[in-house]
Amino acid sequence: MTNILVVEDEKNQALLYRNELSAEGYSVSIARDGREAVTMAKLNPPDLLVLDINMPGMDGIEAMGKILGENNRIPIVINTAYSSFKDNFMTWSADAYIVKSADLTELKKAIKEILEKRKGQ
Amino acid sequence: MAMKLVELYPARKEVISNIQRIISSSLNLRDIYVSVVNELKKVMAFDRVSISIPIEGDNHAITFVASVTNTINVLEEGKPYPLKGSLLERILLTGEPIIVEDTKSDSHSTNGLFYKAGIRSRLGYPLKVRGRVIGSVNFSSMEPHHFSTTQFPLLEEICPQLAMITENTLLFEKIMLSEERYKNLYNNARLAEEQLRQEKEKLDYVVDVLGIGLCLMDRNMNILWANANLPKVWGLAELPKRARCKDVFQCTEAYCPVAKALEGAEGRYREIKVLVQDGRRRYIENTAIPIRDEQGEMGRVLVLSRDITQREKRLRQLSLLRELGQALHETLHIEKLLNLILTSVTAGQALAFNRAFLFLVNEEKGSVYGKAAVGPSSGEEAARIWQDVSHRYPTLEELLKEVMEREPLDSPLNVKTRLLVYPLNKEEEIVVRCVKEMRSQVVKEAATDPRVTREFREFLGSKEFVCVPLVVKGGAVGVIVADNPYSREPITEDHVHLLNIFAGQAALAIENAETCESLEEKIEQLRETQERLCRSERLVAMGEISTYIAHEIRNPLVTIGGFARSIEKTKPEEEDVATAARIIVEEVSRLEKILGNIKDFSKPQEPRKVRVDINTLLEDTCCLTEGYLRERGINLIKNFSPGLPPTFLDPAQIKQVLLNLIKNAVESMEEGGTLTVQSTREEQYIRTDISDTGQGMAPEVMEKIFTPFFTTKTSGTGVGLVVSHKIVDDHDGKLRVSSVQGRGSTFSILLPITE
Ligand SMILES: Nc1ncnc2c1ncn2[C@@H]1O[C@H](COP(=O)(O)OP(=O)(O)O)[C@@H](O)[C@H]1O
Repeated sequence: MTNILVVEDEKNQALLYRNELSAEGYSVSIARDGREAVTMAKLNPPDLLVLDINMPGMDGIEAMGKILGENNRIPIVINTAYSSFKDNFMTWSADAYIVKSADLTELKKAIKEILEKRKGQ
Repeated sequence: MAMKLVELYPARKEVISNIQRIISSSLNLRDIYVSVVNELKKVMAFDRVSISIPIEGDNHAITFVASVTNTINVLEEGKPYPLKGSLLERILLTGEPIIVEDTKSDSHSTNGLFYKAGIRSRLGYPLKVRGRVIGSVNFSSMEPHHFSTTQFPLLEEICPQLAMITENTLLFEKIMLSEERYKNLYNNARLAEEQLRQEKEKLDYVVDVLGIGLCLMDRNMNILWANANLPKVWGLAELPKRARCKDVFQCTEAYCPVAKALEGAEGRYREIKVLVQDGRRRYIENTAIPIRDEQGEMGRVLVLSRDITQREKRLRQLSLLRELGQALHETLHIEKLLNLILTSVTAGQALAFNRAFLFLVNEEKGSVYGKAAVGPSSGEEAARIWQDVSHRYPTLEELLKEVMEREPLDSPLNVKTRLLVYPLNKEEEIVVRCVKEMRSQVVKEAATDPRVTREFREFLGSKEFVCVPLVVKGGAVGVIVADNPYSREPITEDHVHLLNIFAGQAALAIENAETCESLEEKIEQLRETQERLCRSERLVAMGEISTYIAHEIRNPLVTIGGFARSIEKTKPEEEDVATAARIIVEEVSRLEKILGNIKDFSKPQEPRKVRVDINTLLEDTCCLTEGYLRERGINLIKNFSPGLPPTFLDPAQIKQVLLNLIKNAVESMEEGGTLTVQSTREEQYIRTDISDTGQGMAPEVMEKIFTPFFTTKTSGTGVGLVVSHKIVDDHDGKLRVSSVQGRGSTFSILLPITE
């Protein structure tokens, strides 16, 4: 089964992603912050990473740098409440950049497309 | 990098606003500087800081103010040091900030000095005023690799202000300097006056004896005898023999030297009497000497009377000139000043010319033009004015008021003068000659004098006139022309001499007023930058708030709306639940839409494309790196194809790409080598090649160089090429690489030509 690692610090929101993405047929694990994500990715490399970026610590971006440094084959979807990071070069390396919304259609679509593209390679 | 900036935000805002307050509260550089340094310390760590300014027309620089936070003391404040090899030299050359990572390994000449003094790394930031580098602010640290480019954004905001103040201070110093020179001139005028007084006193006894009026009076002040001079001196028609002195003079003054002499004491009693005769004031000095008769009785008084009008006039002139000089000095308003100058030249009690014309030099246009003129426009007007001569000297204010009232700005003479313009190369014009030679020109016979053109002769209409230059710092800023067409009084050497003294003062006053005007302009500019700073600070704050709010609201909305959608999807049995879920979903998406509309102020700017000649951009960039290349023993070859069509691009962004590629190329040539920058046309693209003779890349490396964070360097970040690629992409261009391991690499930027 396709393994997705979601990095999200808000408990309820994390639950939402777990429910919704599991319903799509993925196996979902949750990391609460960047450090946890790095450890988890090392132990059990996921097929895709959904990453929240938080302004104050920017730890999402740091985590991304680290995870990519270890294994830059893992596709990354950035899912954030900030639209301003779209122009930050750090995020260009992400495969998709999604501004958070209650409507998860866009997020799901992006995940699906990326995974299909990877499979085709 | 981004992280540090974010952390800095609150402190930085406070520092910026503190600096603003400091700047507006003082104009003393040292005060400001000390406070600014204290503010900077809150957000930046350093051990020493100084401001360096190049000395005009000299290859030295001066450390304007230095602040030492420990015992390091390498360069003393105010002591010139050679510009060559200094950070300032490099900054002046490139206009860019510079970081010296380690003074131990950096080959720069002054670095050895710093290294010895315990300073290991340095940061120099340019101080620019309207794009021109006027100096630099230099930070030092005792640790190597202490400074980094993350400090640039902060300095970028503070340095324009610092630059402006520094410039202002320099300007102030300039004003002080000319004030000093002014004072010297003023003292010279005073000296001349004193000498004149002494000279006159000596001459009086020799020359004036001939013109002295003598008379002998008895105790009742009847005139017993008088010499032939007396009626002339006293302004009488005939000898006042046997007349009572009081009747002749119709004295009203309480003090009478004759009466004093009769009272008995030995000595001389003197008075000065003012007579008005034919509308002119005359000054008579009467000296009474008591004479004893044979019995030793005090029976008679000898009175000596001299006409001292000339002497008095001269003394009066000089003291008035001094007063005027003072007034000139106090007036910084240029129009008022010019009026004052012309008034002084024509005031009856000052220089006493009938008319005065002022011409000013316009350096930009290369011309001398008529600025203003005062004086009666006709003989009748002149006669009318001179009739009105009072017994008393008018005060300076009255004088000025009088002239202002008498000389409307649209007087025919003034209008005629303002129409005159002579190019500075037309040396046959006497006014131009006066500017060029910086010497006064006295014309006695305008009709035959070869220096006077017909045009100027007809303009003035007088036979005799004088031109005096207004000289400052070895250059003439203008000319005063003066003449006496109505009184026809000859222009003597004395007149010219006085006018010259006065012109020196006037010129300095004009220069001061002009400096002051430009200072006002500077202050205005300073105010504007401050405002701009306030605005950008507000924007940053707004951006932060709106981004923060968007984030804080969006997150719970996602959870609320997301679960509502989950409920909706389960198709609940109960209609109420389904409706409630639908309403939540709708309202949440409405709120999300509103959030999407909140403008993101903190977003970086879109590329700003302008029409650019690529070769100029390459030249600029190479110029920036020349020092850096030289230090590393790298030879630069520039090979630009001429006549390339212009392209549309964001110069700052493309410059950044070029710098990234050059930096990589340099880093691949550890042992030195050759860097070639070449521009050519390739079909619809302009191609720029950056080639090095470095180590080249293995195929596995080449495959990954555009992957974020990929680097083979210990201190690399692996983002340089990713950023470059993204920028070139944004320009619809291409970035190509070719490399041979062990031989070198070539990176090519292709930018589309847009007609
Ligand atoms: N001119 C060059 N010669 C050799 N290798 C290069 C050159 N330019 C780039 N590289 C390689 O590409 C890598 C990535 O470069 P870059 O993205 O600029 O990051 P960084 O310079 O920080 O490592 C470098 O580490 C280096 O291995």
